[in-house]
Amino acid sequence: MVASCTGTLDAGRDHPRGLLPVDQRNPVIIYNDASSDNWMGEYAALLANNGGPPLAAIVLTASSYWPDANANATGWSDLMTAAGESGLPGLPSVTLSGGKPFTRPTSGDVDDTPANNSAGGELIVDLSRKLSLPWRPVVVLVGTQMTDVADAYLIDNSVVDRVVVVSSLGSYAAPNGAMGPPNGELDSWADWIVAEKFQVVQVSTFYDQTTDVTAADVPNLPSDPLGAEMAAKQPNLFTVTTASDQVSVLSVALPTFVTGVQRASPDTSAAFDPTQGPPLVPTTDGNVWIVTQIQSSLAGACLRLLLLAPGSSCS
Amino acid sequence: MLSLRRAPEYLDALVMVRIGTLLLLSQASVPFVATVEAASPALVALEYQVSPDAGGCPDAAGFQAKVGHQLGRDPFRAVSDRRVAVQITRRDRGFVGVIHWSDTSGRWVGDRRLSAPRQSCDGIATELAFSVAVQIQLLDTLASAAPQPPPPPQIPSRPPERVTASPKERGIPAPPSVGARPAGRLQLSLGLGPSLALGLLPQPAALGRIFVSGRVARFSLEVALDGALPSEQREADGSGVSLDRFAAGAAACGQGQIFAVCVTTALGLLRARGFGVDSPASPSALFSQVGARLAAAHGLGRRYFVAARIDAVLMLSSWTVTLNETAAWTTPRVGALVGVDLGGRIF
Repeated sequence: MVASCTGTLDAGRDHPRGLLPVDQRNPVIIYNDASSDNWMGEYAALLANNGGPPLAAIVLTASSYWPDANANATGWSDLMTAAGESGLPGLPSVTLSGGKPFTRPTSGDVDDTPANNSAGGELIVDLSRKLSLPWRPVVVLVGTQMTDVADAYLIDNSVVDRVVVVSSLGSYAAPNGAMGPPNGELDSWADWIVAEKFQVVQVSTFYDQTTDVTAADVPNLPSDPLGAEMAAKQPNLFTVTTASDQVSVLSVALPTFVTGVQRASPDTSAAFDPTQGPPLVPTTDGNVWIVTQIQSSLAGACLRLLLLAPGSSCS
Repeated sequence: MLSLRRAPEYLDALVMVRIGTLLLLSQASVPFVATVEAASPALVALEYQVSPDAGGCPDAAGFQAKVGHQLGRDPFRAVSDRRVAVQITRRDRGFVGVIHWSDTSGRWVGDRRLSAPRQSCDGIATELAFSVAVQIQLLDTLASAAPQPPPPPQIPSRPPERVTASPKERGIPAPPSVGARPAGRLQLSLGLGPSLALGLLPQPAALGRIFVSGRVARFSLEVALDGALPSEQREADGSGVSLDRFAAGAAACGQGQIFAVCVTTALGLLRARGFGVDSPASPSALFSQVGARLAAAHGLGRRYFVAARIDAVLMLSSWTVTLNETAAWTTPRVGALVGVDLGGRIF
């Protein structure tokens, strides 16, 4: 008991769950392009209803990979509708955003960049104000270019205090990370803005997502709209490992999914390269967490558990 | 209605012991109060009424003699600032006696009603005389503790006896309120009541308290213990803090007819309990506060009362409760307590 007349009473605290600064308790916003090339949407919807991060919003955009924004939005909307009809309530509607990639200003100063004022950037600012707590920022799960995240900063600089970016992006070659393909090459100036201003988790380790649901598994999928949607998607799923955008949501939702992390920070002294963001160099207390190793076997096991035993938790 | 049986001898003795003690105390105080001289015995004008159908009653002189026998002196004068009217009325079975007191200003002080269903008129007259004697003795005691007004002119003649013809029975007024008790006598009360704490906790919270209050004349001193129901501050992620508040306080009050104004102080314990976090903790701290109170009381018979009060509170301690190393709630500088008390007089 404290007997002085002023001071602080510490009523408790949370501890990190896993190696990252965010976990399954942080609300998430998905920022992506298409839904047809990976299981990102399925994982997010299932985890949100089974102990994973609450899904606050879905922002869809066009990218060089998937240039038809309306088709992207329709695909995500159909996926969420199927999930909702299959007993997964509380899923958000999709927001279509038309933010174009940024151009580096001649000054090279991030803050001289004019904002797009995109729908996605505005939504990230707005939801982060509503949902974030000082110890529980909103997570933006990026599976495309960083454009709308950078735009959120240009709209409201303080958003960096309320948002952590978790992106399936780039690559890692010890000891440095690169903000290049996949996704990093789509808006390199946005990479600079985000890497310089935000706390960023760059998941640069991918896995073979075709093992999550194989052709042999299709007959065993639930006989509901979500099962039907997955059965239709499975044959057309991208086999290239870097398409597995779900590594971002899995890194947040499953405390043991990430098994290796390299703390880093952007090397802003490097020359601007229009094909990628700034180099990420090791720094003990840097603002970037590069995911260098994952336990990929947890992914498929979790997906099957959530599909076949609703109400279970993968954590 | 208060019904008294014949006062037994041991009761007479007990009353005399108590009165004697009071007299000793009052006498003992005299040497220490240089400006106070020995007080004169209380003098009272008697109005004595007996209904014509009430046979066997003593006359006014007989009643005076009964009182004088109890007191050991004759307290009655034809003219006095204090008046006592004694009325005996015949009922179907027995008698009813009423004593009506007026103070030095002629204002009504209180009534007392005695009934004797199966008693003689002389019996109830004896009980009435006993009651009048006790009250006069009490007046003697109080007078000895205060500066004495000039004594009224003493006229040796006896008061005329007035026998009223078939008086219509009067309605009996309500007994005097708590506040109408003789000034200068200590009154000790005990009570409890609920309150609404505003601004003292994260949310408006229900609070219960018990108190003991001592009053002399227009001043009272109260000590109280209170505790609030837990009040929560919940965050968007389901985590939060719950606060408990316990306090011991005192209030010094100036009393009017109905209203009282008080200064208050309290020392208490604030306990925070975190929830919805990985490592919840329950730290505690002491706090102190001062304030002011406005209260209004209403008597419920001779013994009980109900009071409404509002306290303005200034917190002297400032505590910040943190959760996840972030301030979740800070004690406000000011707050209020609004409540109702129900109490009873112990003596």
